[in-house]
Amino acid sequence: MRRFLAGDAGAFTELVTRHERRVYSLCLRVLGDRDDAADAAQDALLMVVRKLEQFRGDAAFTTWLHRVTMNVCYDHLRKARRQPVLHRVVDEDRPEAEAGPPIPDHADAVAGEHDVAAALAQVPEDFRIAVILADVNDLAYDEIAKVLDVPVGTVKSRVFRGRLALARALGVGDEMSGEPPTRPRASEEHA
Amino acid sequence: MNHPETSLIDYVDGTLAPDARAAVEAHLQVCPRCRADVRLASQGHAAAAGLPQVEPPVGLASEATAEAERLAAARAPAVASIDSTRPSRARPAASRWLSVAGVAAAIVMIAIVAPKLGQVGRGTSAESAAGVGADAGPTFPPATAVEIQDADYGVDDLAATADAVRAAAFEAAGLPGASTSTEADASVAAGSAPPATGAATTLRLAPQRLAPATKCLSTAWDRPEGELTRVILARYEGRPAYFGFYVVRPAPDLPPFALQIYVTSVPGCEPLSTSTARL
Repeated sequence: MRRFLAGDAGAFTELVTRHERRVYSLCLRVLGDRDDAADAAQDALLMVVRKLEQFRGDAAFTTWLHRVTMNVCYDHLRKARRQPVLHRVVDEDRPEAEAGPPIPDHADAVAGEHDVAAALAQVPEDFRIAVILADVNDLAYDEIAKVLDVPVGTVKSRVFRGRLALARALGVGDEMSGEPPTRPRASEEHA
Repeated sequence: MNHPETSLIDYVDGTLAPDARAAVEAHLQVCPRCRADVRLASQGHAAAAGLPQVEPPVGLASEATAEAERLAAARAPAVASIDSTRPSRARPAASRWLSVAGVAAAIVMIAIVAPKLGQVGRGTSAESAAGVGADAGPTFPPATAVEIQDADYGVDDLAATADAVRAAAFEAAGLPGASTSTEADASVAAGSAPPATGAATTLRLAPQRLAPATKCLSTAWDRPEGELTRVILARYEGRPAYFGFYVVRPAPDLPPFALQIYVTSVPGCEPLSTSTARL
């Protein structure tokens, strides 16, 4: 970063080479569509170039990069909600998960990447984003709190409920007799 | 009944202190709802953790790179303008991005070509596990991250892996030691193990997951002896599992004499299998 800010454009190329896969993957998992993800990732990288001077090093660069990328993703999600057409949440180049009986418990963990991606797309947005940041992009909970600007307790609650929702979307049963299964609700979050 | 909801995620992550973990486990004994939540959350965690990062389209950052060049030129010291009178040494952005794409493609090729559990060839703890120590024999630095693989291994792979890591360490140290010396103890695994199923694809490294993985291995195998030098999250005979590679020494200041692999289920931290390679 210091090299780039001193006028070395090649330094930014190195930064991008190191991080563009992570940025694109985050956009794809959050937005669920390759074209939208490419647009968002391009916007995010452009934003990073323009805002790099404002990065003061009070957070890790990775955390800041995720924050910038997530802000762009939120903009895309808002635009998609305003559009009258249904926003595709499953990568259109990939086959969607087949309708049919739920995947048996023993098979959920070996479910293909596409099934998991499709199931993740069914998880409520806040929970999905928390799971992606924690389990796919491997950010620590305190880093996610900085990215999303919410308390750590809220992050942990969202990640936990997102994991529950993902397992259910994959067809994993609650296997609990005597009580109805619990479903994640935003109102149940712990601040 | 009060449900310790805020502690359940730490329980699933394996990051609770022993007393807090005991309290949660006592609650789980009597609470089917929390038991079910823990089981589901563990499954969801394993599924999400298996999702790979996706290769971006070529040229994704060309616009940002062009902007970076523009800004960098504006920031460059005045002396740089002298260079502008000479033929430019900078390649056009597009060709530079082709070379970046080439690097990315090379990385993908490495991930495809060197995916097997026992192979060493990626920037991982496995690579350092085959560290050089020509004076005192092979060295095995501590694990620094969990290596997540999309692969399914059987007991035969385990035995071969222990030998492969051992042989790689000897080779890296320039020492002889190619003879096979693996003893697979599949007594914990039920039934006869099938041959290897599915080719491995290394997805990524997860440093954050090292602590819970270490704890899980330790719980399953009652604090295994030795130093943890490599951890892999993959599947063992169809089940998600951690594979922990421990270097065993007769005494702290003596050279290692064995490499022990322990396999535990995820979630649940149940012992699945183990294998030894003598060094």
